[in-house]
Amino acid sequence: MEKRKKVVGDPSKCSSCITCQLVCSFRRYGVFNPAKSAIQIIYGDDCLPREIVFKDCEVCGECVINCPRGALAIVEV
Amino acid sequence: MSCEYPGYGGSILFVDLSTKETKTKPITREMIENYIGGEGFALALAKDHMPAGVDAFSPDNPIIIGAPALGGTRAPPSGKVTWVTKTPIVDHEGKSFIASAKAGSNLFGAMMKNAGYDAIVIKGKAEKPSYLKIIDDDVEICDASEIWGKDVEYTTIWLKRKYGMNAGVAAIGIAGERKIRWSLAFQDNRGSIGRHGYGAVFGAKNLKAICVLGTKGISVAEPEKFNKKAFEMFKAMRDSPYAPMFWGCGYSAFMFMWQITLSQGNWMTHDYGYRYDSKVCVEKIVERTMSCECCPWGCKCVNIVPSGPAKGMKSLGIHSLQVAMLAERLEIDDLAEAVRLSCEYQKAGLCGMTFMSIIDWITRLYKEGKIKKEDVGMELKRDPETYRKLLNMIVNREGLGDVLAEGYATTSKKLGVDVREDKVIRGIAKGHDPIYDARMTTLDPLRFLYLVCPRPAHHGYHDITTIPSCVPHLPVPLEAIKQSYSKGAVTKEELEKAFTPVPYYGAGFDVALLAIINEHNGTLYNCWGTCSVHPVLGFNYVKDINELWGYASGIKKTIPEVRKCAERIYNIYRALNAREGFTRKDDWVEAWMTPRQTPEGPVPLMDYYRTRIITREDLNKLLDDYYRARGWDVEKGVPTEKKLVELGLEDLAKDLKSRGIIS
Repeated sequence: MEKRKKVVGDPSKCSSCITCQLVCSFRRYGVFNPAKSAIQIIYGDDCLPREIVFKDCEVCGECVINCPRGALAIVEV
Repeated sequence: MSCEYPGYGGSILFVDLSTKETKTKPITREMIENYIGGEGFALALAKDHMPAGVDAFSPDNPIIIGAPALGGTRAPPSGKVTWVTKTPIVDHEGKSFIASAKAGSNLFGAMMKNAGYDAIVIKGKAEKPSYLKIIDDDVEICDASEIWGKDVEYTTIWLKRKYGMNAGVAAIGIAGERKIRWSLAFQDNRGSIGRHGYGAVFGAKNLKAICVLGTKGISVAEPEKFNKKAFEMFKAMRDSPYAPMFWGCGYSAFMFMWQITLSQGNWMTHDYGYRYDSKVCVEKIVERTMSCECCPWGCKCVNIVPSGPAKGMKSLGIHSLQVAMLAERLEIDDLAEAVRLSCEYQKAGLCGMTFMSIIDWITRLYKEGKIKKEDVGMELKRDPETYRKLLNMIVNREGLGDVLAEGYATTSKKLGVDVREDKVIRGIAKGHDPIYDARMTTLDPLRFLYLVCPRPAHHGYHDITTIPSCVPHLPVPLEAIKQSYSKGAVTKEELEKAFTPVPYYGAGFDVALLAIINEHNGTLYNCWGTCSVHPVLGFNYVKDINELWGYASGIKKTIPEVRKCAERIYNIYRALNAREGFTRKDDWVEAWMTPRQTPEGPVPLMDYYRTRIITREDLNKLLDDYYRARGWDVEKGVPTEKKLVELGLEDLAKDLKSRGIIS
């Protein structure tokens, strides 16, 4: 049986350049729009990325390819 | 819904803080064709909405924001936003310049576009401390009592939590609220808006912050071509050897190149270079680095105080290089103390560059006996405790702090000393201190632009010579400079002429003519919202970005055509400042005419290849070349009627003529 996969994010590596959010919405809807991205960056008290959360992610891997810092990865569930 | 112009937000937002009225106006094809976006839009709007002679703190002084033409897309990078206002920096004649400052953002520019705005014009003064909330079409002036008195970091996250994590935020600290004339505003808690007192202009308007969130999305004209080109550009930068250097410690990765710019003369002979080098930065100060929108590198450092009573204090946005500059200039031996002080002025919202310079100047004067305790009301030691005390006095506008808060010219007058005569400070241009001293580097194109740029002596017009010129033994070979410049906004004739040496400069080129090409390149980066650092290191030249913008907007312009746009925009900038009284005589840093005394001996102003000393006469001839090549009045240094009309700026020509500024 094929194992399920998901994208995970490491906020400590994230530079909050938002490339992931932009390429995600572009792939899914053909527009650049963080509001339509499956990725949400949550910032902490220090304004730094504290958490990266995913909603309705299709695990296409576009964000992983485009993350300059290697903060995103596909893992088997 | 995306707007009818691909790649754009579609409209301009006008806000009056006094009347609470807001209105929008659609952008036009003509605007895009003539001004591209970003700085082009902001300065074109300044032409129509900046009253002549307005006081910086008047409600009539607008804050005009230009969103990057490529902002909100995946163009790498595309987060640079332009801010135009009349600054509160006052020169010795009482004049103030109109500045066009650019600041990096990860969300602010993108969200302006997503909310549908390519530019925002803010006028008036709010009745009480307020912030401006923009969520798509919902624009509201809101009560800021919960964030007034708080620092930039607190304000930024407070607004994000209230309106959404994707919100872009521009905010000021206490220094801006108290109208310190050299306070800053910050974008997304990482990009400083300024130097030159933008925080104080916010404060004068009772405007604590601008929070913008958009959900409309940005479409592009040729999606496949755009995405392919953007990915290629992104990949080239991400896979370059520079990338991990930036990831490790941001700008400080290039400390070995920059360190001489820090020098007051004692960098090379003391051990600051080792105490604050890249390795130390990575190991002890920098927690991580942050990026602007879609930048594969990221130069903004998160610095942490490594030890002592303030251990763990953090600041975002200060590159560690600034900590090294601070330490060297103010002779701070303890690394932790230097980081702490930098965190504290950052949190207050002060310009660190001016802080370290003005404190260095005033404490040196005291040490040399040129000012006394009775003049300033306190003892001025050169130690961190005194620096912190002065920082608090400036922010609270107490005693000497209240004087220093007004800037160099006012301090000079009140204390009976003239900062222009100080030979150690990096010089004063148009009332303000330059970031770097051209004597300690060389008169390369960027340093020449410190003289002639309406907003004096700041970054933004870097070129391939900028960083390596700081290393005297490592000048860039002429062929490499030529090759780099050939990829810019330049015609073949301009290039040939610029690379014809002149006897009053030195080897290789005429710096004044290269400076003009640099201004045009920089202006275009500011319109598109891309960074000026990448081309210094061999990426993202005008040619590349013009192609990318063509795929985004569907507008295909040749290099001479975009060069013309840049020329038009730069002429507006200069003409508006001519209207404020700035002429050729203001394009000068007198301190540079005297060799700087250092432990290594006197350092005079020299050409890039250090083949000859630049004299007063030489510099005047170079300025002649600059104005002549720009088609301006050589004697006055202001645009001519002919030039303005040629660029389609008849309205500006008529205005300047009616005021007797041009004949």
